[in-house]
Amino acid sequence: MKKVFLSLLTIVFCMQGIGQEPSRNTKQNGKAAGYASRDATVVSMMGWGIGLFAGIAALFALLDNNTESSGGQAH
Amino acid sequence: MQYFLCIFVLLLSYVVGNPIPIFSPPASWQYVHPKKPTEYILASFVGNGSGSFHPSINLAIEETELSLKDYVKAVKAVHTREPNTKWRDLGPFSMKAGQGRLTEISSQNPGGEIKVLQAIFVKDNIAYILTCSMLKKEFPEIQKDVLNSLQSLFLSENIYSALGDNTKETNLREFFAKIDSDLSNDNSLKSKQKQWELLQSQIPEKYSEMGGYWHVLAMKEGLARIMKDAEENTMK
Repeated sequence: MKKVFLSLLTIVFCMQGIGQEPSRNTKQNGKAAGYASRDATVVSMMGWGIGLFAGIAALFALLDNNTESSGGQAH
Repeated sequence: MQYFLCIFVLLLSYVVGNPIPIFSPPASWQYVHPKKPTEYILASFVGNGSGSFHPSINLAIEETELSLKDYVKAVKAVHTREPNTKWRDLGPFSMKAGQGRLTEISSQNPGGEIKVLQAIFVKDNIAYILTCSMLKKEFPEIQKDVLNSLQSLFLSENIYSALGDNTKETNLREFFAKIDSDLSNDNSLKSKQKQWELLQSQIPEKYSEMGGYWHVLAMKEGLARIMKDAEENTMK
């Protein structure tokens, strides 16, 4: 009886798992590859050199401005 | 008791995290930080080109229930829908992560014929795609670097275990711990900038063999620690 109950519980649990992910069965596979090749071509054409460093330097400049303005308000 | 143990094991299987894909772009290729990240794309790098079309490489991932063979068929269907595009399966391709498949997409561009190499690897219901775009006429010059980059893909639990060396792993953890410690003593903007500069110089220097993408991941980890303190201060 215990084995039957456990088996039923396992089956129910597994079927629930499948039921909650219908998107995998109906989604279009290969989309990422399509996006990747298009993105690579666009980046190649743009020749972007905007590195992580430039982005973070801008972030620090923004922090600097916020610190100055809050310091001004404190006085 | 046995019932609860079995349920726990079943639940655990749903909780296991996915590994991190890591690859080494050609040396000196620059990380691209787009304003609007493209869906599926984890990272892009761009190199120097002789003309207006620069070689680039990106890493993308996608959930899939298909095998490698069937996923490649699905990729073929996606690409062959594009007008003026030729798609070719170049055959099995060995990557550090395992056996993948190499494909080629050719199309025209005002600057010349474009060659896109796409290396595909599928494991545990995730497809990992490395895509490199370049002018066909420039391919012979950069062929070796490009193929080495495509082959370099491997999967790791985290950036520490990716080092594959306990001493290096410990050193990296200590490096980040020191950042936390220094910032707890002095969390001024000047101190944060100093930590960021240290991160930028130390990571590529001490871990040069790990490649540009791992450097980006490690610097993002360090930056998160630096900015975490900034966020906490802003909320005070």
